[in-house]
Amino acid sequence: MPTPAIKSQPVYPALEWDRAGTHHVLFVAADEAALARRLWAQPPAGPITLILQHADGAPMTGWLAERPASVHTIAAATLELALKALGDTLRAAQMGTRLYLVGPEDAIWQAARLADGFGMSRDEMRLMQAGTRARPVFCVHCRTVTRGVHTHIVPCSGCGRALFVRDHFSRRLGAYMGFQIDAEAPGDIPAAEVIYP
Amino acid sequence: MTIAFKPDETFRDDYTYRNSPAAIRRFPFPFHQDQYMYSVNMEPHAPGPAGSVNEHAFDIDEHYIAEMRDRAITLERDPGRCVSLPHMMDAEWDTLELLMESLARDYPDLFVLNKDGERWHWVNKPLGIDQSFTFGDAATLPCPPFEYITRQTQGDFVIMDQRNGDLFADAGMITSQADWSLTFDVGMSFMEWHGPVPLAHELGVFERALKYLLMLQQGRPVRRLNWTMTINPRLDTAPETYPEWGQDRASVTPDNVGAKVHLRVELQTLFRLPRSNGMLFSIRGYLASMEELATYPRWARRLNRVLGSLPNELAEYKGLVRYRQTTLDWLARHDDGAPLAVGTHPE
Repeated sequence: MPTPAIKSQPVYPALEWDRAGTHHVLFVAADEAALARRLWAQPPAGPITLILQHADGAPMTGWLAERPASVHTIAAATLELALKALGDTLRAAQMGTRLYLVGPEDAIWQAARLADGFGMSRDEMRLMQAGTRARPVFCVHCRTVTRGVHTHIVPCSGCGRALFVRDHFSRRLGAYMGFQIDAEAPGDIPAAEVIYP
Repeated sequence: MTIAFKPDETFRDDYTYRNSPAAIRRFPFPFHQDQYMYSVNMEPHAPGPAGSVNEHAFDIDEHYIAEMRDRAITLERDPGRCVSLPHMMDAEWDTLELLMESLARDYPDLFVLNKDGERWHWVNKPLGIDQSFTFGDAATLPCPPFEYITRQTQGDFVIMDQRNGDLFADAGMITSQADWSLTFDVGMSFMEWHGPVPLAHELGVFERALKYLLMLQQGRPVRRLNWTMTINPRLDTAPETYPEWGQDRASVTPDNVGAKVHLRVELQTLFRLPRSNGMLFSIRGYLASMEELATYPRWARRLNRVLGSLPNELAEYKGLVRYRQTTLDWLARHDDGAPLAVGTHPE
């Protein structure tokens, strides 16, 4: 993975099981068959819960087909339902639980914030970006988060300003910073290019 | 020393802020040589000469009352400029104690602090405040302790929480920043928070700075200078309000550059806090227009050379690109090209 231009931008090491954990919760919001195969090939000791978000009818074949029979699986049709299932799981979780988050940054950082709220520390979570590179963008002017942003310039879904999407990332907000691109020269807005497919 | 306050000057709209000759003379000019590059450049925050900005732990100057009014206006418009995460209450009281004790000790004509156990009595004469409260009991103050005391102290403030071998920006009072957002950055680690700064990471500046700061001891504060440029004597140059002030950068002309373009210097000081083991980071800003600086020809010459040789990445990051050449053209008229001895002194 290339070194990010801005140090706040997360770098995601290849996901491995944390074998110090006694319970494992795997939250998945992207099909990633190769990763699934690798993880399922050497599962850790202890119960595993798989929370799987089937977005847009994605088959998720790797996660489902090759999982060990003992894996407790919860399927969710939307991110909202998947997060709710994660909350229910963490509410009942015991000490020694480890959380693995796999998916687009919008999904995994919303899940990480939820886990923060249950008192999980960052040492107990592992994140890996997968699926779309679309960014959640926090408008620094009106504080609205615009989700699913593929371009480097995007209209804010809150105030409508044309925002430039920086690489500066807030883990607390789970979003990249956006600021008005034409504040110095109103109307001077370059064409938006798809940078985050 | 008696300070002649200028309570009516403004940092917005009609921008009536000006420096007296005495304020220009004590301006913390940051360039001791003709080129600038990032460095850790930290030194003990030991008392400096009488009248200098380093004479006292926290500098109060002629702009005090006006700056505190401008802060109140900014907070009224956007309360999110003061943020403190829930675990920071001990550090908030540490900060209140450090600031009140320092101000009362260094400016006894202006600030008075009397303690009777946990019952404290604070008098701020310039702002007309007389407050009795119980130390440690936030309900006895009109607002939380960090906000309370930083509404009465010049400069922006961040409290960093130290844990896991890192420093986290977990509280802040930020109303006069050089284009960074507390709302966005609060809670970040040291490296994340400084992420957008170009070149310095590659030079290892932040890595060394963090290592140094983690060892900082109580009673042994340190300081460094940082700088940027600001159009108009505006304190609120936050990203939040960029739509309000961004166009000012395109408004500089050969006729107005001397009065409009300001060098903005931050005297950054860091203090270990006793109970919380946190760290108070004070970012005390000073603004001087090109015309004010040029009253000392040495400074105009130096600035011309620094600005002319500044790497493009830094000019871009500091937002100088639109007006750098116009400013250089103006400064060049004050620069005879003769060699300048090392040092930041005005004469």
